[in-house]
Amino acid sequence: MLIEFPILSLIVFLPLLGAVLTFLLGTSDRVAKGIAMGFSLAVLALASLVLVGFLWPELIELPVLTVGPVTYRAVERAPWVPQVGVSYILGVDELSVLLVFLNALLTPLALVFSWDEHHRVPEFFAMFLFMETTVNGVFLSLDMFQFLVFWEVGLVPMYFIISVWGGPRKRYAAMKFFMYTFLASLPLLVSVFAFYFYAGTFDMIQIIATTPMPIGLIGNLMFLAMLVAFGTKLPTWPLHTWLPDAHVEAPTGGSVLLAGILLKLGGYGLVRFNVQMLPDAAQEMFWALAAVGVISIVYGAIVCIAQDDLKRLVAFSSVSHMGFVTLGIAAGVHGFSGPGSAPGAGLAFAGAIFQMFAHGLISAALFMVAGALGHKIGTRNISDLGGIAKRAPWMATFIMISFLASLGLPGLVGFVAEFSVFVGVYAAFGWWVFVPILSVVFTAAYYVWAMQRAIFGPLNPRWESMPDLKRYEAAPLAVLVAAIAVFGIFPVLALELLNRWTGIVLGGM
Amino acid sequence: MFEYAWLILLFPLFAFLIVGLVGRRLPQGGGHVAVGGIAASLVVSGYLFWEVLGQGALGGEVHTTVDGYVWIPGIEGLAGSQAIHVGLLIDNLSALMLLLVSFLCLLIFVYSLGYMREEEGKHRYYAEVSLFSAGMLGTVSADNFLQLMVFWEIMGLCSYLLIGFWYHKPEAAKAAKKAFLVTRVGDVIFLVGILVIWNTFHTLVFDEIVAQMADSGSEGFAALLAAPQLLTIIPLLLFGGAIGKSAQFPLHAWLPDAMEGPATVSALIHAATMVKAGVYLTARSFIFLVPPAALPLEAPTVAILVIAVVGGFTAFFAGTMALTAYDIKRVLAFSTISQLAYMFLGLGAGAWLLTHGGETLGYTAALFHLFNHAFFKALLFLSAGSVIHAVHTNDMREMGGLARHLPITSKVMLVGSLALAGIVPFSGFFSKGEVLSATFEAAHEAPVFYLLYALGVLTALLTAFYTFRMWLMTFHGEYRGQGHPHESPAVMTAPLVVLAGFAVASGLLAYGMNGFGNLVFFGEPHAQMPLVGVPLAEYALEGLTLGVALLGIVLAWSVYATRRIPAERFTAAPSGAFLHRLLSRRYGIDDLYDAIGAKAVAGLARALDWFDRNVVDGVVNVVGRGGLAAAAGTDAFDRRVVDGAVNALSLETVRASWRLRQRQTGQVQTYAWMVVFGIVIVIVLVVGVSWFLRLQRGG
Repeated sequence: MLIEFPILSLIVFLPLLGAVLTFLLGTSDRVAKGIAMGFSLAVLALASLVLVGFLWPELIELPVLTVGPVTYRAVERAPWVPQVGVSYILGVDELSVLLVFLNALLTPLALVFSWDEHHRVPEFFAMFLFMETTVNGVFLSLDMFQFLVFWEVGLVPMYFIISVWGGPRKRYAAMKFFMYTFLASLPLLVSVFAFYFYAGTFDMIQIIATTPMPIGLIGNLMFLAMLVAFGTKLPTWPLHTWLPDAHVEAPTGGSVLLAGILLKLGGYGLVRFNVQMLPDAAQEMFWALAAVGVISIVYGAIVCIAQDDLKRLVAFSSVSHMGFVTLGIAAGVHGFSGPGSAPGAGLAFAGAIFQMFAHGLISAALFMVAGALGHKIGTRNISDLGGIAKRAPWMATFIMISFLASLGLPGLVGFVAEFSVFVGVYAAFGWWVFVPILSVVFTAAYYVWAMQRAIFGPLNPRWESMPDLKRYEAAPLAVLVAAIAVFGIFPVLALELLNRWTGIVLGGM
Repeated sequence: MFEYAWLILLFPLFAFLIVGLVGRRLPQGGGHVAVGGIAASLVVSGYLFWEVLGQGALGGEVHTTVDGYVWIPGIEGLAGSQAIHVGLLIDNLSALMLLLVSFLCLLIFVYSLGYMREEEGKHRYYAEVSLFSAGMLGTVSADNFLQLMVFWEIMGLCSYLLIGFWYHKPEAAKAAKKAFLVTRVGDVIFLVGILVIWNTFHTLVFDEIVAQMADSGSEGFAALLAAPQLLTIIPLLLFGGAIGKSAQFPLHAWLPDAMEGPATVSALIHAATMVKAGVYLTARSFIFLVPPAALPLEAPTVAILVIAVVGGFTAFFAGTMALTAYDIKRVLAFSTISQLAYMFLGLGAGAWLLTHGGETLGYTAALFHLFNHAFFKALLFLSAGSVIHAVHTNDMREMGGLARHLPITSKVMLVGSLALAGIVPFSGFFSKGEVLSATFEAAHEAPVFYLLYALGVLTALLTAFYTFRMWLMTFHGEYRGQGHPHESPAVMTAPLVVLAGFAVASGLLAYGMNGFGNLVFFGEPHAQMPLVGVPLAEYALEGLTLGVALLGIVLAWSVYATRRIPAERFTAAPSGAFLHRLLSRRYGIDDLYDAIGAKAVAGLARALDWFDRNVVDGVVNVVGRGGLAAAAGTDAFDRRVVDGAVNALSLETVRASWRLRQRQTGQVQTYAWMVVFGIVIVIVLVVGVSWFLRLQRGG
């Protein structure tokens, strides 16, 4: 089946339409939820079509545009502000298709999980759809200006989700989230100008394919500027402190999408801009990526041990796990040209991207269980819990599975990503691999210790009558767990795409 | 041609899924499904073993891989990148292990039907043991190191869950955590080993590695020549994983605590199967320890010696700790550590012999001991379970005289004890004797093996002593506990009797195969039946081991049965009391780990957390507060101008805005407008500046 309609525009703007309709027609909460679910599922169907188009092109055929070594699919192009060379360009490649699919999958799951939201329901659900539009826009835009617009507008829905539907310190957290990421995108802005200055275009396809980008000092400065911008979003140490606050205060659905998909914008930016558009600078500045990656991994894991609030714990674990993205990229760009280290470095690069996908699934599950706990019994503090497996076995089971997935249990999706990154770190940096690999023990320690205190042991009498998960909570968790297992056992489903793309990007450097 | 071997893994996996999803609603918590799954596996592995034998495994070697699917694809465009596959290796050793594991699992699952009958949450138990059996079967049939590790970790997970089966008991929850974390340390080292192997050979398949090491044109060959130390480092890193899994010094501390789980779990996971995985891994790492002759490098003697020394030392070290334990299962746990150590000693001696022109003797002996130990130790643990089932305590001080009440259990446990002590013709005698002979033989080349041999013989003495101390304290004399103990039901005693049969026969099986080395060997088969046609010196060695074991039994008898040597005389002396305390505290190693793990790491974590809140975030807050102070001045203006504007987002609130105006929070709207404002500024800036730049360039 050949896809001839503008599928990517639909993927980007259908949620926006859904948001508006949810708003306008959402006279009752039920109608609003229905409309929102309908639209998010439609987007999921479209995103799945695109993914199938990549995995099994004989089933779904997407129009192809090959520029140099890189192949894009379903490219749409229209002039937007021709006076300054700004165009409307959407296109999908192996990198973005997975992330768009992740976003399309997580959005309806987060909506279902938020089914019992009572406060300003139509607005709440509309915000999620609005966010889906901005995120898909970031992943699919191949024009820098357009990218920037989606990037900046994307702050708005999350800001409101935290500040309106958040916890007691929501004002502080939302403000911090907003200011942090907003300020951090200023260096990105500067870099985009620099790109434009040197390339004379905002067209990313063209920049990636042809234009020699500045090397030396200017290129390196651009690299660092964008590292600040994307590193804040990721987040990487030491730009991470907005994350724990944002997560603690955000409503559960918001946390799910914040960790599951918004953090990936940072990783996506690093790969697309810092590596693909500035290959020379990336090879010179790999050490900066490696350094913040390793520090994030180890620092995040150790700080986790001291956390009592489960959401804070999971937030710091995200810092640690996102460190694998920076570290993997560093290993990839540093090691791919060495004799003997190229295969490993390639795996690390693909593994870094796969880690984004894996963490998207796992952290979504983590925040669902942490949020559900807080929702049901009013606390997420490990020290207040104890023995809840007895009263809430399903809750305990899902806590355990998501913890185990997050600590990199082999057979689940996180292990594949971490293993690939470690392979490349050894290939590129040799015995230094012992430093980040230490975190594997720390990670196991904080999760296993948390399980011991929270769900095992004697039941805390306060939770004698605590309810277990409801159906609308268990269902999205079950979907996530299934995905975590399937992509852990058959990672080839995603890695076939990522490894192919990695070969093109690193091979072309 | 062995494609059906996948079924061996899949049956218990399906049983796991069924029991895990609907076991709660099945009779016996789905126990019958678990038994059915593993029985099906046993049938298939039996057939597989039969076919392997038919292809000439006795006195020869069958060696086939079964393709699975691509797990991690290779990367086109990067030189030397290969896919990582999933696949099975069917050879003599794995066929035997598959048969052994599925057989033991079946017996123990059946026993569980009786032992776990009264437990709440049986369905968890049966789901987890089914997953475990899939993990163990997968570990012993993997054709590459990564797949081996994946299944190895699945076993570790199940071990964690089953130790914590009674999770509401704080000790159980704590023991589970300890087991997970201590083995995790080993696993990380193992993982590094895999990383090094992959980057050296760009494959993890056993066969392909061997092929590269023998092929002077290959990538791995060149890499090893460029960095010969890798040949030592790789097996050492793999051994790190083995130490953790098989509870060898210094990562032994988790196994005694793991006894918090049900006795069936101790029998299955912590005696018969999972803890053997470390031995199995070390046996597989012989491809590095005994490199092919075509590789012009010296054998990694350092790695071999480390394995042998850790084995010899741990055997003795763990044996001493068993002397003072009063918990019947902990005695067996220390004994398991000690017996596993014999296997490592055997492997070390075997590798030494093979690299110094000798035969496969030690390798065979170690795996023979693995085989025998699996039966008699499972028997001992299940017997202990039967005892605990009857008296509801683990403490041997509250037992005694149980031979009268538990006639079957006492007899089968005696059989197991004789096998463990190494009394002819029980199975432990043959394999332990062969391990020690191999060690002695290796000593001709390296005198350090004399020391290890002496430790091994001494350990045989300790083994016989603590084994019969255990048996006598449990079954001899007067009953010291409460209530009226009863023999266990037939569903439990039947597996015991079967296992007792094997505890006698498994050693003698070697005679049927013209020597165990005729089936399991590294390099060339070794058709040599135990005690048949061996030199006189060999008889002397075997006689020494046997004599020492008998001496241990006699000593135990005179201390715990006739009381001719009262134990109090020993513990009353100051040095004896000190020794007793030292052994009871397990040499203080657990306390040390507690201090490092719980206190030091937690302290570091708290310090870093403080740093994060007050230093990293402190900078942010100071900057932020300054910004807010500046903003506060304009706040009044903002509020007046933009109040309610954000409600334009909602039609309903637009209507109500006038009414609600007083109650609206001004702050949010302010920020909202800042966002909108910010976006406009960005757009204007981007358009303006780029237009300007364009003009400049174009102009």
